[in-house]
Amino acid sequence: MNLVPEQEVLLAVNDVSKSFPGILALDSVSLVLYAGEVHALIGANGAGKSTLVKIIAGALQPDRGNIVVGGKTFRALTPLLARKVGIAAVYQEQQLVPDLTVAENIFLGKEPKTALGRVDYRRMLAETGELIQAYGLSIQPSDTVGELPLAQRQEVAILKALKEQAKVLLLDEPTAALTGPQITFMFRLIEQLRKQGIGILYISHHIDEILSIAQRITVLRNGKNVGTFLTQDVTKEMLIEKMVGRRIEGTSSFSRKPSGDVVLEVQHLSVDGIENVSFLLREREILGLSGAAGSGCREILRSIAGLLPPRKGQIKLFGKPFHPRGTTDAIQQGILFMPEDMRKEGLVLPLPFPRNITLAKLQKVTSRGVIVPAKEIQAVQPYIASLRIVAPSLWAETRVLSGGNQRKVLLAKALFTDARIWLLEDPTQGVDVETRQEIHRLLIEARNGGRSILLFSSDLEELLALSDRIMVMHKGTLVKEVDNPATVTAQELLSMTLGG
Amino acid sequence: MGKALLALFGGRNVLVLVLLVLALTTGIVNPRFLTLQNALNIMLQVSVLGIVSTGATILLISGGLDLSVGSLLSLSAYIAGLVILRFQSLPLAILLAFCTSVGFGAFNGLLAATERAHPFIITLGMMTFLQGIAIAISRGSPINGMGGLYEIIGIRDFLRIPLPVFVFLAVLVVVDIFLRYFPLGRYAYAIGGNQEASRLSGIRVGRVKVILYTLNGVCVGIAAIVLSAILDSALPTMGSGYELRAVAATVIGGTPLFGGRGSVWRTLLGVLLLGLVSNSLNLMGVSANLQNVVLGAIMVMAVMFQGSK
Repeated sequence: MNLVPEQEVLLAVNDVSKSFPGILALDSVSLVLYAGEVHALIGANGAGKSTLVKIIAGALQPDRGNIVVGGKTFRALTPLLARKVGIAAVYQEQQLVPDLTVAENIFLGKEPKTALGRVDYRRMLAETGELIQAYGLSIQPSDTVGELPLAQRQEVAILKALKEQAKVLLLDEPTAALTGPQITFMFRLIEQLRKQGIGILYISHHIDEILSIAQRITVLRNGKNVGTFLTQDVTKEMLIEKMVGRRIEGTSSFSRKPSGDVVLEVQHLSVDGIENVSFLLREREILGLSGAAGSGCREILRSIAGLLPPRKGQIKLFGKPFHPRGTTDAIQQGILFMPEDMRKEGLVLPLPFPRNITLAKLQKVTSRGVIVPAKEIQAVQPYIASLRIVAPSLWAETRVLSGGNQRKVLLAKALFTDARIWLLEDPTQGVDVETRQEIHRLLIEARNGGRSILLFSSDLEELLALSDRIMVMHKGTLVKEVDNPATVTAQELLSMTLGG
Repeated sequence: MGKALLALFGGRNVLVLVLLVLALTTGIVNPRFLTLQNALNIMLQVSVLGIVSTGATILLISGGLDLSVGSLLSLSAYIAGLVILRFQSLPLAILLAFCTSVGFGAFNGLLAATERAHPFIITLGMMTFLQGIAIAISRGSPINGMGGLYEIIGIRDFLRIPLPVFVFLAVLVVVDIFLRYFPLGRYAYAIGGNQEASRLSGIRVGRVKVILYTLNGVCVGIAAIVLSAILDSALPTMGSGYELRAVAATVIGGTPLFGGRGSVWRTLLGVLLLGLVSNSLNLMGVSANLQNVVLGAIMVMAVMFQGSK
């Protein structure tokens, strides 16, 4: 056991629950962080990791439960309060001011003053230099933060937290942007902090990394804590099983018509983030794409949608070369991309929702180039009915619809647009179980109706249930093809995407 | 109490209410206010601002902005004046004035479509640039006497309603139809509401922006002709201040600055409010300096009470 013997409790989260419209993000989760431990927090997407971290950092307030820190009990924290009691969140680089130097950032708001009341730069630089040396870092106090590489900006953020006497450090995917030697270096720094008695809550989905750095591991699944384990007691396989769980679902028994001819052919495609990827997509087929962050799945969808120009290789559509110069070309060819972040890229929120459905193909509701409102309302109604979109009225702004209904609006748009090829990114992200199943049913119906769907999902159960075939991506290359998803378990798929 | 007040002031119908109260009190203080003649007077006074604001509404809905409209109005009107002075040709004058305003409107659109800077900053630069040209070619001197233009638009009326008012209402109706029933109008709302989503829906965002800024230029051209007709002269600075008052009228009317929503009828309300306030202050004998204080205060209150929906 590497734990500090006395096991001083730095932070205790007790029975914390948090719900968002339509979903229970955290369901009475408890967690204890000791001084001098690296405590890993893992879970699939949507398991509630980031909600929990935000609650601890004070960015979100829980509905129920409390947080005990420094011997005091809080019903909820605010960002300011969290910092006061010694909790520091290091999310990539957000809290740093890019135009200021390392020293200025570390002392921001707490600048030492000279006798005359001016900022004592000499002392600031000197103290920062000492701090950097103490941790064996290679940055200079006078470096401008914005010019540092991401790895070092993260070090500055950690130093800043230390300067503020943080006892609890929240690290969210600290190695996401790092490469081999940088990761080793980051781990050395974390180990050093741990030995000083700092408690580190470490969020990551790199299980191998977690096994090598954490003393204890807490697994979240569907907003619940499904167990906290000592690292020496678990294996990678056990953790994956805990993460995935055994969800019982009736989705595997869809009846499928056989796939048809090849519709889309991608040959030796290379764009930024993917290297030499080839595959075929058929009529009446759902081709699953599986891969962790940075695996290139999103880039594949975006380059077919005309958003990322290919560096090498080509795309053939119905046997003819296809060079989309933009999304307009793609849509004219019947290719519709539905991004995961629908509020940012997918939907025009201030528009009444029927107008989002018709937006990509207004010519269907015009007569001699003029929109006919009655025709528009009439045209969208069957989709609203068959997708069971619930809205206060036909004039309701898309903004006021629930997340699940917004997803359905996006799918209604795909149907209305007569898109033959759907490029989908996490189509059930953030929706409740019922809507999820409805969306699954719709996708299978669309497939059987002759559509071809390229589906990227970080929900492995979803991929297995919906896909006719699955392509597994890892670090920009296609590493595996699963021809019969029925024979594969979520655990097996997860270990494939993790490069195993 | 505060909440009740906010709820009361939450909707747009508040503006109608404010307009009515204002009209009523002024009418009691000065009975001349409630005459048909005065109503027509107000309409005439706001017609130019109304035309410019209608163009601004198109841009604000699409998330754009053009601060150069005041300078562009001056330049276009002055060019028309020059042509009338030199060649005595009314059609040529109107044609060249339109070419100027439409051309620079389109140019602003092209610059905005590059996405290299916020339209605020681009058109702020264009505002100085165009004002500079107007002053340079005029050497600061006004042109008096717009000849036939003044006789046609400036003094004529129909059914006792001055022609500029008809022009304003016509612009309003045309733009309203454009925004409601034309795909381009729909795209203006879409781009203003979410540019990325619009692009992913296959809308050629840059092209649409150029067209919308060009339409704004058309409005400026019409306003330039109408204003120089009313004044029967062309001054190199006659349009300055219109850019901000147009944005103010649009926002007071209830079209938000950040795009995706709005209509020209709201803008009509905003324009009328501004016109009504200065008219009632005039009739109540409030001095010009104090009028600005009141006008400014009303603008701030109007936008604050509309809340940030």
